[in-house]
Amino acid sequence: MKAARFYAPGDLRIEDVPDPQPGPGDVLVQVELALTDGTDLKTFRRGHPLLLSETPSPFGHEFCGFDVATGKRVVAANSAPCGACPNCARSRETLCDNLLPLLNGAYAELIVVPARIARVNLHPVPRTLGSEIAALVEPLACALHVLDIVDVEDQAVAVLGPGPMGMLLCACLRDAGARTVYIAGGTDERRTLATEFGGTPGDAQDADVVIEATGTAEGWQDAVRAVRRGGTVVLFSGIPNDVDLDANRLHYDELTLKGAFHHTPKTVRRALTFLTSGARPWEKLLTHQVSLEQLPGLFADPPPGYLKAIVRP
Amino acid sequence: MFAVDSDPRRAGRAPDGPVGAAIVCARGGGASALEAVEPGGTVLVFADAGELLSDGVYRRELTIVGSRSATPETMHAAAALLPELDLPEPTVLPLERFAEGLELFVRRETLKVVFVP
Repeated sequence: MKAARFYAPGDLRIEDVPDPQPGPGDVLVQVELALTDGTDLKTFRRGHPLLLSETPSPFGHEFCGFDVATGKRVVAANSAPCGACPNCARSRETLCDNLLPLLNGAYAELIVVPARIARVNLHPVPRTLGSEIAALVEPLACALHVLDIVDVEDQAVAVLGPGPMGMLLCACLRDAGARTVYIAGGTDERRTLATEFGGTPGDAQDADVVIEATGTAEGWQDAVRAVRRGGTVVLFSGIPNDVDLDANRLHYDELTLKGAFHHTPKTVRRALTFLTSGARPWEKLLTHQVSLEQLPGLFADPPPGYLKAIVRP
Repeated sequence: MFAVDSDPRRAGRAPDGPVGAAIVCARGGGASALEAVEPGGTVLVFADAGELLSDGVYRRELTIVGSRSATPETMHAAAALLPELDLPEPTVLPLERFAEGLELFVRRETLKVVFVP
């Protein structure tokens, strides 16, 4: 089969590789389409400490396809908690001791969903839901996990970073009862699009809750700077290096900082339901369409207006 | 509950593993506190924490809570709690000996100095 393989930052190759062979309990999926995302773009540019274990590595983790054994259309998340470790026992499944390795290999004609993930986080796609939208289940599940971390009901919330994750966060936060969701940063065009996902163009100054979704050190520091006294900052996007946070502000202005990492089986299921509801114009996040062969070029030089691309193997 | 201090005379038994929550009461204790808590744990920043690096907060889903000062309600609660606490005797000095009292405190030879005007 054809598959994208990550060799090093900037070096993504499309190669002929042997078809993957499923083991007991594994599910072999014929990929109908995969979606690019910000994490993959970051990984293409600088590598990733968690996403890829060894190189060359399979690549891509948002997809929709057909269970080869049954012919059913399915989606899957890129991990599943073990359900047995101490963190799972405390219902902190995103901290599961056995979460890794994460599933990669969606930029390919076939992918094997390991039994440990298939048991928990592989789902049939509702008939009314298009495959392109269904493949958004993993990032939307991550956005929904923020609601496990912070209560936003009747709060003024600001999202820093109007990228695809920022849009999904707007949708989740408004759905959860946030009074206003200000979307800050980026271009006018992006902030205008965010209104269709429940966002209000504005800035984060003095918001009750600030959610950082820029994936930059500056974004993390801006979030701590902007939130109101006594407010809460949620660090949602990973960054490659440590940032020194303003400890004085934390102490004297009684801020609360929280991390929100990854997704849980519950948010994966809720994401699929939310997508199926059609509550937001999810398709507007899918701005481009490429073949597998065009994928390295897309990552190397993202076109103007790019948010996410559909990759058809 | 464990008390951690660079001075062994003031420290209690050392933690035997990661803790659920850490309270930073001493200047510069932020980095140690972040290392001490388990994934999903909480660090309460009650003093100038010094360097507070972000990495663990995201990946380990830590909560960092800033806390300062008191409210009228907590002042009442503190006053009610005082008779139940077995606190070390403070050093009591006349106000004229302020410099001496301060020096004792800086040398960590006393926890509190009460100055009598």
